[in-house]
Amino acid sequence: MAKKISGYIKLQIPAGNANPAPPIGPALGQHGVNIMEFCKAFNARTQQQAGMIIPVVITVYADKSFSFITKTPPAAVLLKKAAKLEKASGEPNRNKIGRVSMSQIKEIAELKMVDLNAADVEGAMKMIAGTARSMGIEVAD
Amino acid sequence: MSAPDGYIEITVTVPKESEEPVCNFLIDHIVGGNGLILEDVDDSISIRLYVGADHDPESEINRISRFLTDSALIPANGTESVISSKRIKNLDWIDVYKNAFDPVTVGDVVVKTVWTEEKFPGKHVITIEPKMAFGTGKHETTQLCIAAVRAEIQAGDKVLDLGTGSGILAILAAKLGASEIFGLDIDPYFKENAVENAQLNNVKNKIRFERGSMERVHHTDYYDVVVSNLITEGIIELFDSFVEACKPGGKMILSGIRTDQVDEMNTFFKDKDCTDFEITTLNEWACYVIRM
Repeated sequence: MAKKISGYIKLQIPAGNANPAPPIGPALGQHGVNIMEFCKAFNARTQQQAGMIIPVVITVYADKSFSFITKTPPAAVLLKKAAKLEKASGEPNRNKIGRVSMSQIKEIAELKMVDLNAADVEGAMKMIAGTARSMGIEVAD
Repeated sequence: MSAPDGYIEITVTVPKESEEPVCNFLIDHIVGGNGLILEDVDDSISIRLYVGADHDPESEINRISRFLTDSALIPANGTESVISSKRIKNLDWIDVYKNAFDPVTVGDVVVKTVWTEEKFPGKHVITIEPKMAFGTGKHETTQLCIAAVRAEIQAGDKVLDLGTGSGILAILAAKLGASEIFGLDIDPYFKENAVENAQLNNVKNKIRFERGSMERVHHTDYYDVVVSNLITEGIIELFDSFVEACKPGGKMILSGIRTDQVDEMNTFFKDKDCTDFEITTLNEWACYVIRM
């Protein structure tokens, strides 16, 4: 309980499938965090979402003990789902590969509000629409 | 991802607002399901990724540059300066972690991890599996408390350990002959680790671990020693309940207090009519032993 924070590690890793290979091994090893224990706890907590990439923030305490929180899936992942795409465009300006509606953008914005640095839903929608465009997904009015 | 010849580590630094699309591109087109490491650097975000050493770093960097330019996420002329790559060896990352966790010695007490094979004859050895719970022995406050527990616990003592974490101090008390120890912590993940550590040290029958704080303590004037390694605010908040739980003539071992808070705490304890205390310090941390 006497928790003195020494740093944070931010990762985006597959739900239910963390393992000691890079990036997790070097990311945690560098901070002296128990790699196997993290993988076990993360996989247990995220197995329901298997297949999704999950953002996670690990808090490392001064004595190498740790805790972590998982966040909502990245907006990009939700956008791909909404546009029924497996992958986003590698050349988003030249190659438009999908389309989402404003109401889908709003839905994603509302879901992501807890983790976004946005003042209101309108602000969050702008951020999500920007992300969509940089993935080669057009936003229909 | 298994890569016997090692990895190429690529670092991409972009403005924070580009984090989402860039991460998504890297996952979709470069690393697949392996994932990314993100680090905030001022207003930018530095994203680290790994591909097998059989990949050509130049062509991966070119693909990333093309994406950044094409999606206009950073100025077209700035792409070279934000992407770098280096080769790294394929290590057993678990071994690297384990080797870095060397034993901690405090007087004649040694805290070692479960995988340390070295023997320490003539010492009080505590074996722990360092997991999520606080109390790996690596923090100054834990070390100060270890020294105080070693000095103060007598055979047959009843001990309360509030904020027990990994159970390290409760286990030491048990090894020193305490007859009954109650370990409490509000950390949702502490108990499994604490019980496991107590088992590793063959003292499980002497210690009861429960999740919660002082509301779980129902005895008054009961404990010979109250140990609590929290933070200053926590000690101040819970101190009256510590006094209630502690026997007259008993002792308290309190830490998690910074050295710049010692003046404030001296006044606080004196106001509570606790004037018989000693302070030990290590770097910026202090530990109080108070005689009631």
